[in-house]
Amino acid sequence: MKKSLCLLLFGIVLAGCQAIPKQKTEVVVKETQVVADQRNKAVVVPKDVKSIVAVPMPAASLIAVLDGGVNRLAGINPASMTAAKGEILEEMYPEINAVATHFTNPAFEVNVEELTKLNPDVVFQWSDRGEGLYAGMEEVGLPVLGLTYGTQADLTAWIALIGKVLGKEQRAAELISYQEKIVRDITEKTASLSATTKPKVLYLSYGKDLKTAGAGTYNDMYIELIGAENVAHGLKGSPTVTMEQVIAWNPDIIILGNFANTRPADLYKDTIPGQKWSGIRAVKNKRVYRAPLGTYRWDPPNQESPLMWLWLGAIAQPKLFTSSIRQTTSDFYAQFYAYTLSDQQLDKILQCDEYEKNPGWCSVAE
Amino acid sequence: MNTKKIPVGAALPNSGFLHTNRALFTKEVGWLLMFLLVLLLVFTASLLMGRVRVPLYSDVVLQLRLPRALASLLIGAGLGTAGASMQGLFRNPLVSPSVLGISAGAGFGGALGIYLVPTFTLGILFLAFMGGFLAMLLTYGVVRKGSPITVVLVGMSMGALFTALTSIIKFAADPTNKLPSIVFLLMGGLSGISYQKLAFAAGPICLGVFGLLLARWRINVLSLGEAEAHTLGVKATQWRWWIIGCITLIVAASVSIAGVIGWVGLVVPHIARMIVGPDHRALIPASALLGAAYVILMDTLARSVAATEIPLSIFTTIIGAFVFLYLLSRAGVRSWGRD
Repeated sequence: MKKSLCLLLFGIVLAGCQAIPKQKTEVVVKETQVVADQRNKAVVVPKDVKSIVAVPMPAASLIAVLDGGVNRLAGINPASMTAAKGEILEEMYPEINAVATHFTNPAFEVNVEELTKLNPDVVFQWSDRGEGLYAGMEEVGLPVLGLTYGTQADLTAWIALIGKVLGKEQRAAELISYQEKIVRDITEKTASLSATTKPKVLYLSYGKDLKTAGAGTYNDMYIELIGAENVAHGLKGSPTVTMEQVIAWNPDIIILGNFANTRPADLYKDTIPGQKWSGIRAVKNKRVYRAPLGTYRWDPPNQESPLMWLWLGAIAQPKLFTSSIRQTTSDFYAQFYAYTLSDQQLDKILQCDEYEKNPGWCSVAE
Repeated sequence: MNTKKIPVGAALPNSGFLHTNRALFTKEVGWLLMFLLVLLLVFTASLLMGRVRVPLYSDVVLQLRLPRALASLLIGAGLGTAGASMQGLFRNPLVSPSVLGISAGAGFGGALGIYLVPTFTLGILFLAFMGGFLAMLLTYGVVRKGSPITVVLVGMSMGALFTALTSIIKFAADPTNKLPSIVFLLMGGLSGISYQKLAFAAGPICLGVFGLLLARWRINVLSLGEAEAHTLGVKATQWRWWIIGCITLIVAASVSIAGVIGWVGLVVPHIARMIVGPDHRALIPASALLGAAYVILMDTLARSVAATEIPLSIFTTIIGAFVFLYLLSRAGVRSWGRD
């Protein structure tokens, strides 16, 4: 009985072996170019990139706007998707809903097998969060480009690099020169400000979790740029502070980031356990604002960063920044996305729902 | 089975705590009063310490520091008492209240609460509390009648199981809103304390501590062993349930409002034991007072030392371990009361 069973199994295996199709090895020659990423590594990428995967959160929308569409985006970070769904990016490019997000997570860890199923020609990843994030990708032959977070120079480098990979160098150059022009304008405007006229700003990226941005972060850079004082400037990186520390700082203005759901109304109601907001100047004077959300969250570095600077400038130094942020945003979208924003869309981007009283940049009909 | 008759009131070798005739233990009472004084001092000091210099009758003190100090007091007293009772009951110097899986169960309940109904605070507290009880009931359901070692092993497995289930919840949770809250709960800390949470936990913790205080002498007897307890007329099973029940009330309530705070239940009883001795009639109150002072001190440091909130576990673990090692190197295990 055992012997015949063995023979039967052997026969099945033999038959199975015959059934495996012979794989033809195809040799396809693709034109390539060598680009240097921000790790200063020379990476060989195809000249005609058809499918891109972007793990860093801001990269997805940057690629979309430089490319004028999401057709070449194969995969993005789930946190990029949450900034797109229900917001202007989805309205501009509804196909974004079909882009994959399951292969990575907000900690930027990548499931390489799922990634290979997407067949990307190039992958973008953070360069400054450890080698572990690259594990496996380069080994399977995927070209990976590293992006470094932090300064305006870094953001400029991202735009240039993505522009090169997409073959949209000219658009990238336009965007960069726009950003640089705004930096020059702002620096001129704020050159003669003395320290006493600078309001104290507190930026909370995750709202009530009390995570703020200290020296060396992009947020610290633009708060100081537009003529305000970042209360967390004495700390480094993105530390989480105590409520007492916030009370000790007593900021004049609080900016709530778009990474979590805390709204100005939550601080005004003051019912968060373990926290006391009512004594703080920004809350007393109703100067708590939620950062706008355009094609990406305005608070971290992104393609619309100059608009963030102008928006914050109008809040912190209204006498210096007098032009209408609505007009500037409208013009920007027309110039760079060939897209006309309606009043309703502008209100949505500028988070007008969050404010009981018109803060000055919302449409009057409410 | 040991059939030696033990006359009540006799001094057993190396036991030192069956002196029921010793009506006055003045030395121990003296120490307890000292601990009470220290506790009051530490409590007052914590109200005055912080990142902001404010007068006593200010919002910052009344709304931020006072609830935290009160919560630290309750949790410290609770965990200290629970730890001392555990160590006595299980006759093992290495157990802590978390060994029965209660902390892990409560952590799981809390995580589940945050995942399902993130804005309903009371619901989350309730689920955490129930989680702790569930873990304890499951542990005891599995063990029924077993040696303390078996109970500890089953408790640890149950704890591991609940921790794994909590990991599943963490994996599935929305990373921007729910996951940080869950991680915060599990890490342990008092920055989210409000008067509402305090009201929720005060009842169970006070009941638990009071219940353990009532059982002090029985713990003395139970720590000799089942047979000895039987000989002395102490109903081991009933009292064991009572003690475990009180411990569960304390730990489940603590975890539901402040997350998992480690090392307090392990270290504080040892420190107390090295000062007042192994007699639980003094050891239990001492652990309560010392535990309260200890957690108040740690929490005050955690929120005042830097602009960022340092997780409480870092302080309790590092300082606790150092104090523990120091005391062990000096006193050895003599004070444990065994050879």
